[in-house]
Amino acid sequence: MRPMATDQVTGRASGRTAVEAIGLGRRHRLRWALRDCTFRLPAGRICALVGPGGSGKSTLLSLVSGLTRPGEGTVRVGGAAPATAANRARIAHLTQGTPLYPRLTVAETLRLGRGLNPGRWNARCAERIVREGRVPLDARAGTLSGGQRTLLGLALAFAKSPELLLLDEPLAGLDPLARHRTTALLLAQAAEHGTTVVLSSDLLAELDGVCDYLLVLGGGRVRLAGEVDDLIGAHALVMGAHRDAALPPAIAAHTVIDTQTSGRRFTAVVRRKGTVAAGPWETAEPSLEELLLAYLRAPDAPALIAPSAEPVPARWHRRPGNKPGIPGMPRNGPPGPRSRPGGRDTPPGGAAGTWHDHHSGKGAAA
Amino acid sequence: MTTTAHPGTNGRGTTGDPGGTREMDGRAPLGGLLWLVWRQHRLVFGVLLAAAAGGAVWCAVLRGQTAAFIDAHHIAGCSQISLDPRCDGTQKAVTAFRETFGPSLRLVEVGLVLLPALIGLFLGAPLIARELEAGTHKLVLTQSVGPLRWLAAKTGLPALVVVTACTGLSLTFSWLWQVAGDEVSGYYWYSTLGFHSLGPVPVAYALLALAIGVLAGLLLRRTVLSMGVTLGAVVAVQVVLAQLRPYLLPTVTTEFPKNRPAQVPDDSWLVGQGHYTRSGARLSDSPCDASAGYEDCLRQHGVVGQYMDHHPASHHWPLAWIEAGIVLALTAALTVVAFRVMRRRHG
Repeated sequence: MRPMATDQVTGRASGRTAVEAIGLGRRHRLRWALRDCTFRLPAGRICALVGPGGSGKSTLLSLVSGLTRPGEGTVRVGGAAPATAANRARIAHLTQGTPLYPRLTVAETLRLGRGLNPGRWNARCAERIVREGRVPLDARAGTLSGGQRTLLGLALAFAKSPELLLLDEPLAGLDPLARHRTTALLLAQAAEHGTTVVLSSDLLAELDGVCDYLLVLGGGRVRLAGEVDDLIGAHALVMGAHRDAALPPAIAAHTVIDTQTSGRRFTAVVRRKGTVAAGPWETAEPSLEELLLAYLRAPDAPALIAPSAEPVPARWHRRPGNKPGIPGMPRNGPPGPRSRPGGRDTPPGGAAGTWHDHHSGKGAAA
Repeated sequence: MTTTAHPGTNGRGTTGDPGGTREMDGRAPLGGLLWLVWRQHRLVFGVLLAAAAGGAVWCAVLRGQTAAFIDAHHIAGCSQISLDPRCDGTQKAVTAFRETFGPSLRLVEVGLVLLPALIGLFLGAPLIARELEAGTHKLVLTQSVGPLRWLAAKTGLPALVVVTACTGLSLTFSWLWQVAGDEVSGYYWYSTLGFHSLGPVPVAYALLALAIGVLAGLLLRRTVLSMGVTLGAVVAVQVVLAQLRPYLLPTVTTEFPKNRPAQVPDDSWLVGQGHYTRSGARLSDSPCDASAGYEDCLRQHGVVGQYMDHHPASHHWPLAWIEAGIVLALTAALTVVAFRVMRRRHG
């Protein structure tokens, strides 16, 4: 399913930027829920936002939708701050747990959506989602099941005809059928309207075939960002017989993200430095789920930010005082003529477009 | 498809739909918000408006009954112990009047005094706190409306309902008061209950309670906690302003030379009294006790008469408007703070 989705979006996935965050941070009381978050999301993608609980996924989505204001750094949607009237109308955000007014009926909730989104409301779309999900129109929202609530929330979000759709755990609480329908809906919506979608989910297996972009958070920071295909291609899954405690040196020469052993066999996910040498082991491309699991298991693995997920450098020269997100990383595209000599767009160590390992700066002693 | 804005033809998107909902009103951004706020709080609004309407009707009925009683017994302007010769022999009728109508009048008074606190408790405090507690504010703020617009609708419509209900009730009660208040009933305009239930004062306090509730809910994010804080704050403001009330306007001083009965009219609010000396100095604490040689003692201190600082009945409405103005200014300040908090939090 993924190639089809990819084909559909590559036409749209021009150089336009849907979301751009630079040094974004937000503190909840004393703890940083999100810190030093720098990434770029090209327009027209379906991006999976993955991370363990408490890694700042919901915080990031709230910052992008303008629901909360950043404690530090900036986030821009379509080049403007999220909390402008134009962006409010363009962004739909289904927040975690799908808050609904419990005493309003389903029909009244849809009326709320129409009343609060004048000129954008697609009533047919909303009613189709509600009808197909068998959500009774005259039931109060407080009496709906978890899945029905989510569907009603999705109906509100889709019917707003958004350009950027942020979905916080939309698949949680849905039965497999509804989940399938929801992902199909998502793909259709993205294909039809060119909607950029950011989807946070813990259901790793469901993301495969839906998402073509990936953003992995851990400890409040970005750990993995880029095209799904590129990120998978940069890694290898190596399986073989376990000889002694350590991995074979030919494999350990690559950046080992995670190793699992069962009985006398090991399975390792490595970030390739060139091709993995042949040996008494099998090498394969990891699935999205395997890749994500490896990164979730290894919170100290070095971060990997693809060039397409790097903010355009010219923009953060215009904003002095912001901390650069990932120091020492190559920037996407050639340095512009306006860039200052010795500026940050010519970092040491590497030409643009190459992959770089680097430490997230948080005690990663790999 | 229907993503383009068509301000004049908003119904377009729904016209082709089979079945489903199709209410055609509430399209404008503010219209949708006002519908939502009305839908959310219609129970409280209904109870408030119904209670005010019921109270107003009862006041009108009471006015008719009290006016008939006063006319029948010719006791207009007579208190139980009156110096007015016109009121000679009316004591029994006045007592009967007070026994008949006193409890009813007191009930309306108490209702009007408690109304602001009740509005703050059950309308103002939950208004925002419940949304923040349940997270439903996210549902609204992720639609196309901005946070300030939402807060404006969320406070504006309740304020309108509160003003309507309280003004209606307060006006009819003041109308009843013209007949049954002051001397005859013994419930004077300057009593705490009376002052709080007449004219603009209850309306202003109701709006203040609403504003306190909204701000408390916005800052505390907990419904029950906000209700407690709102109740405390409303009562505190009422107590503090009740202490300040005599000083909002300069009092009128009447001097009574010795050997003349010292009494201001019944409907005057006596704020301070004492003796004054030949030189004009005031002795607020009487230097003499009421024992033998009282007159000698007074003479010794050079007392030539008594003074009384009081607010005559003509000061009632100026005092009421000044206090209402202070309360409304406080309300406006709290509302501005609430909007600033909202803007800082949600942009």
